[in-house]
Amino acid sequence: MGDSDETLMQRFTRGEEQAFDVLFARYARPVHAFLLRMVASAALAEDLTQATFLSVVRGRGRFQEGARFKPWLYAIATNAARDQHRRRRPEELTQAGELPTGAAGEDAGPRDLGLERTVQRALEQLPEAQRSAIVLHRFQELSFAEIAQALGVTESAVKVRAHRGYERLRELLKGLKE
Amino acid sequence: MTFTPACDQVLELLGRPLPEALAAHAHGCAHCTATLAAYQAAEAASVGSTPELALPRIRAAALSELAKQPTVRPWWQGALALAGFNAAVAGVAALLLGVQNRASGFAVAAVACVLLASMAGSALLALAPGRRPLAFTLLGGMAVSGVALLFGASGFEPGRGFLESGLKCLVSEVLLSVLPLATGLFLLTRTAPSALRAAVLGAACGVVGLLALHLHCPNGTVGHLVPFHVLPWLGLAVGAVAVRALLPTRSYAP
Repeated sequence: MGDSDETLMQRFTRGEEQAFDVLFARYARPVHAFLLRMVASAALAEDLTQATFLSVVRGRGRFQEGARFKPWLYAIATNAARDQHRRRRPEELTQAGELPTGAAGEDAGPRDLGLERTVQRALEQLPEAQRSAIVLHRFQELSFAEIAQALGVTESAVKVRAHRGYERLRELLKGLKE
Repeated sequence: MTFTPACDQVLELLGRPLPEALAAHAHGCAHCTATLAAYQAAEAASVGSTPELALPRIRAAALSELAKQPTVRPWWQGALALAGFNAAVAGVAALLLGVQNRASGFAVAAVACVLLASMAGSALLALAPGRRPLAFTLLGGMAVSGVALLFGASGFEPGRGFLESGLKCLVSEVLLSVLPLATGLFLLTRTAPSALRAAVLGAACGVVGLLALHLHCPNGTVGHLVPFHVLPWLGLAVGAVAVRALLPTRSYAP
């Protein structure tokens, strides 16, 4: 079994480039997948993945001893996605102020693209706070305590967001199962 | 809409088998039924794999950045440097402008100490990583500094024109705070955008002008201090939020 994320991050902050490589190998794909679900554009998700790992390098002096690495990393990715959304020009958004839908599956493999796209669109219709809670919980498999750290809110607030998000998702997908 | 502790337990066990008692609860609970169904339906939302070519490019960009910045700069170095810089600017301004406050020496020094503490504490908290009591710092720091300034005022009215002398103070306060504010905002681009952080930092840097004027300005009336000393300081905090929103972000680290 390899070193823990936290040990690797400590080694990285002491100047070991190899430790960064291991962390990158562990998290580049999950972070990209998370961002793809958050912004629904493959090109944008790539740019934000790069911004996330550049932030890890530039902001490694802000990683506190004793902190968990995974929530810290996803906090960076979430901040990058939020900032990108905030800086988008109005003409790039839908009338509801959301990102255009349908782009997340553009490089998908031979799966049920119709179903996949429907679920992705339903996810995109959730408010950002609920979507980030659900994506981090359902797909990135973070615990609610870790999500709370990543989003900078209390654990009970995350649970309320997740409850509401899942309920809304169920409403949006109702027609799919019936 | 209320969720019971059992609903929370179901939420925490999503994707895993539920104990009998929880399964019975979930069966009869509309919230949990919806949550379980949505959790299963979301399975379909798999995304395409990361393009193979993108990862080496991203890794190369990160390593190139690492080569440019091989040593770690702890966050507190920048924060302490800012606090020291702000204190130095306020000190130089006070030396150049002179001390003309007509209040007692003790009152002048006590208020100056409160302002210095507020400036240093706010600068450190604005740049500190993780969750911090920023709203409390902003409101508390501003309230304590504002109250100290008004209670320590001499009440002396030098008899100059209200608007003319007031505008001089206003402009001086803003000009004295510009360089500290620019330095602070540059440091703030190394962390994720946050309006609250920017406001706390703006208030911390705005204290530079406030402190220099506290020492220099002979007018100690509330009618002068509030509109021409305190309000421009609040304006600098608001301005910092607006400027930070326009600046690019160098790091999204919390």
